[in-house]
Amino acid sequence: MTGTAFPPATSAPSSAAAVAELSAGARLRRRMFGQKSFVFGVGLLLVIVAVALLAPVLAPHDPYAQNLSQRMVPPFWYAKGGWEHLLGTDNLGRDYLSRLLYGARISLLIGLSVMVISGLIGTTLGLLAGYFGGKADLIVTFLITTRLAMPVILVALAVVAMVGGSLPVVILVLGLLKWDRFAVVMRSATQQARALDYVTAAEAAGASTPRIILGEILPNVFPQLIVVATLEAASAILLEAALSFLGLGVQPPLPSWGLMISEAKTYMFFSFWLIAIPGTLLALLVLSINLAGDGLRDVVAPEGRG
Amino acid sequence: MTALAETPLIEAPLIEAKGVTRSFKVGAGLFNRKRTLHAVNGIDLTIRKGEVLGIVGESGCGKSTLARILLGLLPPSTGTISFQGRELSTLDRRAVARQVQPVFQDPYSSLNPRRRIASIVSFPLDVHGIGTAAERRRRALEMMDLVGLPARFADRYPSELSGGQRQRVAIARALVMKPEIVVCDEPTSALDVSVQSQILNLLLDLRRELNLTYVFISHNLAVVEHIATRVAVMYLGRVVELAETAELFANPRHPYTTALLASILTPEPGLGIPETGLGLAFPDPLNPPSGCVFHPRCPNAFGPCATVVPRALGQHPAGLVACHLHDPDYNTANNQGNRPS
Repeated sequence: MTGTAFPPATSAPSSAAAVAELSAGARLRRRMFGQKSFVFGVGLLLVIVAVALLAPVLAPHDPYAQNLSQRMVPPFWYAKGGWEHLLGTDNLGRDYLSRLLYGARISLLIGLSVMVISGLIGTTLGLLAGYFGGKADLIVTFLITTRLAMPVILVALAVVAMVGGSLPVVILVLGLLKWDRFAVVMRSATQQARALDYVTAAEAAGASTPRIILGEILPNVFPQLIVVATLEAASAILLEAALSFLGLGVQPPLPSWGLMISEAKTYMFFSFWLIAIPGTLLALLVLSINLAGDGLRDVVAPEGRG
Repeated sequence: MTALAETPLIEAPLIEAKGVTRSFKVGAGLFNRKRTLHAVNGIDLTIRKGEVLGIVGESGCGKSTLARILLGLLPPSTGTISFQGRELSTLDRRAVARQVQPVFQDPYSSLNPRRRIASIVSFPLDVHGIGTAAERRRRALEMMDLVGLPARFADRYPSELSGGQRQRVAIARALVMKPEIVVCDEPTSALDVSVQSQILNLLLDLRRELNLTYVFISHNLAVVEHIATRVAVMYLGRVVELAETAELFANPRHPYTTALLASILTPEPGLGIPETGLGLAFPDPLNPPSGCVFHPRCPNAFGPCATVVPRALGQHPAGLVACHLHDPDYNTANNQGNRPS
């Protein structure tokens, strides 16, 4: 990293001038569009977000309307399929496309809110542990170890079984369980940043501790935060799918992709698409979030990678 | 400049350190007992207005810990530091910050990579809420001009600057609040040789223009000889010799100072690596030698050195030496320079 991060001192005037030729915006665009995986990830994610937001407009049918005479209609590319239900219907005759569109909302809502809740908890703990060290670090490390000793899915199952499954419960439980990676990564990133002289310089300038943590350290650990946040959002979406699949997540008739897979499992051998379509979408959503996060780190932190 | 014009430059003590020690607990594991490391061990120093106090010593001798103590970032374990007659521990951190500012060794890690240059320079002003945003920026630009940075750098990021330019930014940040004292911790050792002299001369010019006092920490004796008015030689957390620069370089009294001066590399290729007579073994700071901490490496060690801690002998208005060779109580038979065996 050090090899490429800093221009050699002797050539600085000429290279600085050359860099200055490009405006900041042009350089940002070059960094963004230079990475195909980032463009792909963000593009796909934007499509999914747009579809989720526009679900009421795009959906051809009411996602909750049952039509028992139109059960298990296959998608249009099958001989029995038709244009009335593009992606067919499920076992209760509900339009599958409409349910998928509305299901995207649930998945994104869960991914985002779990990321925010767990991110707030984990980042706070990690920053405090990394900055103060000593006893604070011991306490946070203990909390992380305790948390890591609990299997998320089992605890989530137990809580949901006690309290009853619903969207807010799932979000809250996952949010309170998934802060560990935020805390681990933020702790070590903060420890590294804290040892650098610019933090000492801020201390020597008389800056208050919150100011140093929020103004000097947080912006410098932000790239790592973005990566963890996207990984966690993707993982929360998968966990919700798993919980819903087990019947303890989002409750019917809400259309969640995980729940749709769960409801379709009985018909797996006769109506393959009922599982394949939401499964593929889930995989694509998680992939796009991960690619976007990985690329975003490189875009927001150009220094340090040439 | 005449001697008379020089005199008022060095006046009353700005900082007085008395018996300052700083120890750290290290090596604490589940099954290891904590051990105490005395990074700074009983230092008395007076820093007078207008002087450049050079602090030299090997790596690990406590120079940087002393710098952090002088910056008010690390409270001393024992001893007192007073700043213009006021106890440092009674002063608000921000009051200290207005008077003492640092310049660090590595200009790559001392500038926040996510701030623009003008924002880095004006950061201390922001912290102290001095002026409006426009005024702060104007002062940052003035400061950049003073240290020789063009105004077009104001909205660049540190990664776009060279090492020497970055160090100028660091100096501008240190000076923006017009402090009395600047603590420079090896400010040139991370720079290219060609840039080092530029930065040193800049520091000297600024000292004259702004009437600054420097504490200049370095392991480069040539640099210290060039910039310092007085030099303190540190060994294992102690000041072993303190003298005016010319005096110290012409007439070193402590055997460690003699060895350090002998270690200066010459540009003459035929001479090889200078022989210091010190050997390679730097003692374990966790388990320092008894008596005079320098005695295992000292070519002149004799009777009391292994058992008695040498006292600081003030034999000069501005100097001291902590060595039994110069202590009449122990070295009655031999005068300075003789080697009892």
